[in-house]
Amino acid sequence: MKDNRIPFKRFHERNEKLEDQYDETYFSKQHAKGKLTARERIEYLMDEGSFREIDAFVKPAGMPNEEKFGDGVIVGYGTINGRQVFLYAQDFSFMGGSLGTVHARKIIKVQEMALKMGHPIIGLIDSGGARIQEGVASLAGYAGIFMQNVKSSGVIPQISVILGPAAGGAVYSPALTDFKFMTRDTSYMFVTGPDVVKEVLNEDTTFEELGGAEVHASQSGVADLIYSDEEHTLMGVKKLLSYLPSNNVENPPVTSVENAASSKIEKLSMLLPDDPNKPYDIVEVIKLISDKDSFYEIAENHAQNIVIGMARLNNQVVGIVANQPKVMAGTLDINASKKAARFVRFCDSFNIPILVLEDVPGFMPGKSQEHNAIIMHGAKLLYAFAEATVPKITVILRKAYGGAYIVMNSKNMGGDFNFAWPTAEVAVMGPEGAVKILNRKELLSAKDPEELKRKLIADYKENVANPYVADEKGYIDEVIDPSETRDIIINAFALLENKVEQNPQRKHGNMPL
Amino acid sequence: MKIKSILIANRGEIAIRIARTAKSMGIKTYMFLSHHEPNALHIEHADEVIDVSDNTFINVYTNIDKLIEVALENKIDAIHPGYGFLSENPYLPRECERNNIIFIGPSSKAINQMGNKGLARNMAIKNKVPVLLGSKGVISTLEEAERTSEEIGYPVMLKAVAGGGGKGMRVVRKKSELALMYKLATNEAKSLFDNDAMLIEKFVENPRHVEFQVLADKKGNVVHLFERECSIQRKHQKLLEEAPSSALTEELRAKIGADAVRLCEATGYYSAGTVEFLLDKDLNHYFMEMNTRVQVEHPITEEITGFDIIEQQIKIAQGEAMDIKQEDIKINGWAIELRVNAEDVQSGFAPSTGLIEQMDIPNKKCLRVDSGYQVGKVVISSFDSLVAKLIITGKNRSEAIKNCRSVLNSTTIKGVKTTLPFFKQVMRTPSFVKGNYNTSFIETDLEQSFYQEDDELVAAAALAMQAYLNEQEKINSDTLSDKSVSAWAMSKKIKGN
Amino acid sequence: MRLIHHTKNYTLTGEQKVTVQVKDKKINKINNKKSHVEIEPLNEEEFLIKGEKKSHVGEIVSLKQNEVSVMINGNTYTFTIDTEIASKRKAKLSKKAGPKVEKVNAPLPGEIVVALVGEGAEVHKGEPVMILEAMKMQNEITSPINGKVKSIHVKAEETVMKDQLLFEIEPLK
Repeated sequence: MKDNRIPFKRFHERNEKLEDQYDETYFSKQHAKGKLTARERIEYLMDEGSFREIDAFVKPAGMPNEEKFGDGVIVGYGTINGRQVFLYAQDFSFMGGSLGTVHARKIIKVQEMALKMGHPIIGLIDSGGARIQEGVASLAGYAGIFMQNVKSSGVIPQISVILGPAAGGAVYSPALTDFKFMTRDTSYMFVTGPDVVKEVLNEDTTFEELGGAEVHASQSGVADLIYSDEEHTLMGVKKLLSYLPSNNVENPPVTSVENAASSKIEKLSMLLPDDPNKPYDIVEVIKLISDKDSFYEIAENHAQNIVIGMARLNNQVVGIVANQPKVMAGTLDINASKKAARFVRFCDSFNIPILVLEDVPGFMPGKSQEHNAIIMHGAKLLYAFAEATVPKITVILRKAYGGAYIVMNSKNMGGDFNFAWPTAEVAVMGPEGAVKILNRKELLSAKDPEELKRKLIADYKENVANPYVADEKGYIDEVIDPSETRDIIINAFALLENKVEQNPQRKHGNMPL
Repeated sequence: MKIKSILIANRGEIAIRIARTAKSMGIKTYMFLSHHEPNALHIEHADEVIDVSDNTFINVYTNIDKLIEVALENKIDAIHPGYGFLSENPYLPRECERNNIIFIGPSSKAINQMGNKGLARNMAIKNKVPVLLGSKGVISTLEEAERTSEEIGYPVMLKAVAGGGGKGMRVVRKKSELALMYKLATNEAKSLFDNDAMLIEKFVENPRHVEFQVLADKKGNVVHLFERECSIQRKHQKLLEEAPSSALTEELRAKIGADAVRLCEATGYYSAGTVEFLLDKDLNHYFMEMNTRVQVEHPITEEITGFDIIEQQIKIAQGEAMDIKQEDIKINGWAIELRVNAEDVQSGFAPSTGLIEQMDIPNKKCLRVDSGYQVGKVVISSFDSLVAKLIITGKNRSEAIKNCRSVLNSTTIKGVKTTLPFFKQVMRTPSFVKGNYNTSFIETDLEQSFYQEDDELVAAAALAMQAYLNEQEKINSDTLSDKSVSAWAMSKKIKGN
Repeated sequence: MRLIHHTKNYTLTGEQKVTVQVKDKKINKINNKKSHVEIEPLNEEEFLIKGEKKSHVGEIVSLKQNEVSVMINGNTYTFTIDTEIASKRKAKLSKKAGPKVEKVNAPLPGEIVVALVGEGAEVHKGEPVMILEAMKMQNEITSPINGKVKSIHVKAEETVMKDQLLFEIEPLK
């Protein structure tokens, strides 16, 4: 029933006016582009009826006669599966979702609230960029958003969902957040668009080629997760949230599934090919070790030689970093190092324990890697593991050679538990390479060099490239039966529940960026 | 000399098959444990296992020196090569002879002569066994291939001289295809047999493939154990064989059988062997080639004749005179072999590797299973994709087919995809049921390559949809526990006081 | 509430297309016919799917985003599930986008024997581009379309995994 007393009359009128703003044309304009409206996106993402909009009635700066409210962005709070989140959703239907000062102020307001109250913030981005009419003021608006992004970094999870264009300055807010979602075919991110590229470089390119979801998910690694349409993208956000704590003080949420182990766990010991140089899919190993259907892979199309993602072990969230032998034999290169380093730091920020599954023949050799600073990028992963104080466990499945062995959370880099399968080969380098260096002279003068090489390699495997040497020297805590891996690491993480480790007080470390 | 021990230079089902007969004859068997499959099933059937798994550089089944070395070292009397690998390599019997080891198979000379398609063809012509129009000698250049193909007239078949089992064969339908096909065939032959010499023959459209099993001893006695019909092939790979063939009349059977026997007599062949013929639509038969080894499909012959072919091979190898007379051999019933391969029929028979998670095959009187796998074993890409041979018998053809259906209905293999859905479809295809099919069966007679139950697609869609809805529901209602404060925060006492 | 309808239509795209209507989170219609299919779990992996004519035992092979693979009677069915709105939108978008570069992945694990053509070569649909050896069989990997070889991602003697990208074919303009 409508309350017709005077003070309430205006209240209702105003609300009705706001509702009227979202008429048929509002929806049809976005739908024609193959996109949902900001309103629909919020409805889809949030628990039914839980969203409260704030600052709904503001008007754009310098446009007091503007009929429409909101200045092209809806901001507010609500719940997702019962958990509080803050949200802003840019509305492309109003001046192309362009960012004016009021628009920016609204975003900054929810950013501040989210940080103060310790809840995740989600940005649904669909904007043509800075509002040209407002000039430098709109640029300043971006700066304000970036400042909040950085302040919130490592305190509350920040998630950017790119559902339309994000161009120019607009790309840097997502870049500063923890996770970037994109939707195939309808979302783009680039610093300069195809027109400018054509003008400056005389290169023909399309939106899709330059900054589509596909490109950012595979080539640049900017997009962490991509989906085929908006509904599934928003579902993905919900799914990711279920693995994240609300802030850096809390632990990640726990589920209560009984008997979550995969029914095919005994398959684990059969997954590794008999030939140590043959590839296999590490994701299958991850799926068998972790709780049934719990593995959620992140950035799966970028730097595929390393696999990262969230999973649950006995209902507790863990972050998984695993070499992928089926892509480039699992070698670490620049992109893989960056991808893993970023993920390790995220996990450490938000109290997510880390499980490393290692099968790595080394760092990628070659001019292009060296010239593009694999030294610095590889160091990022080293830094990230060394700095992380959350529980860290490593299981060596097969190869663990040289520098790459050190990097992948080795005992002396602070691994809390370091296990190895009997198939592990821990050494400075692989048998073939080692034999060539160690026995160069013998091999040159041998009557039958092939036969001698074969023997030397067998000797090397027997005496060096196995888990037992490292185990006997304490660099590995225990050599374990693969089929017991899950139980052993669940127990180890339980032991580590109370682990507290502190890095020295400082403003911040100087990470090799 | 009586053989007391055999080194089985093979793996999988055939190694187990050979061991079974050897055991019944009181012969000790040796098999290899290779690095490829350290947990292979065949090892469990050997009396002695030779562990060569530390040597990851060789394939022991194709390494003659290693075989001889092992046989000598362990004082093993004989080597049985099975099929594939070294079974048709003339150097193995030669090396065996030099080292006083019995080779269970034909002589080196016979392999050379009959295993080489060019020489075998000449032998056939000399002995009045009909052959297809073809090149006089081997072809080793594209120009020669072009000239010869013109002479014979398209379509023609390119065949690797050293090939076998359908490998290194290409059909060329018109001149414009020749260059590419020649390149493909020679490339393949070079990499598989290290010999890219080719033969060219007239290509017969849609022939039937009928082969005769022969047994011959060292004293010159030769018999045949009738035919096997092997027309159900895909890219020259046999998938299903039956014995006898519904295409042959008694008269024709006797005629082709006599041709096969005559060819063996003329070459002084001994051991088991198979003479392959093409049958055109007018039931003219043409000699194709001879396989100088035991065939994958030998069990169907054993089932209808009652003879143990491996036993005969061993007896012949140790010099015994065959006590079987042609007139004593009778066809008794019908047998069909289904080759259950680890292949994904739905994606064009692509090999499917992995762990066998379930393997339920019923126990039936009409069913013999020859398999090198069981639950928990891994199918790897280094070897062929044969998982099991289901050899199904019946009083007559229609009973055998009925039995096939019933076996297929109660057989389940999981972990790898198999050709089982293909066989279910074959058993429902009219031309097969009538026995009126040829080598084009898969391309022309089969509606689709796998069997689908009536409303299977709907059931699949429903299950997929339900799985999807469940996942959406799970995401939408993730039941998460109350929040807890991290150990890190507790230690800093950031909140709470 | 514009989106949260009680009935929702989905398109399942696989080898064959199937439409499913979901009412109150339950499957209501399949291919526009009232569905009487009931699904109940048999054990940890298998489900009994009771159809009108027959019951089947099936299992879920994989589920990722909106791609679901199930196996019934040894056959695999892979579907992409889209809501009615999404599939309409996709149809519209793909019309706009035009022909796409075809990526060809390894159908099975094995070793590359030889690439028969080089980058830039024109190939016809069904023409072999490379040979992959697996299980002692040489498999021709053919071009799915008439076009030009845009890029080759593997070289001879390289070991490849199933689904690894082998080459890309660009449609002829």
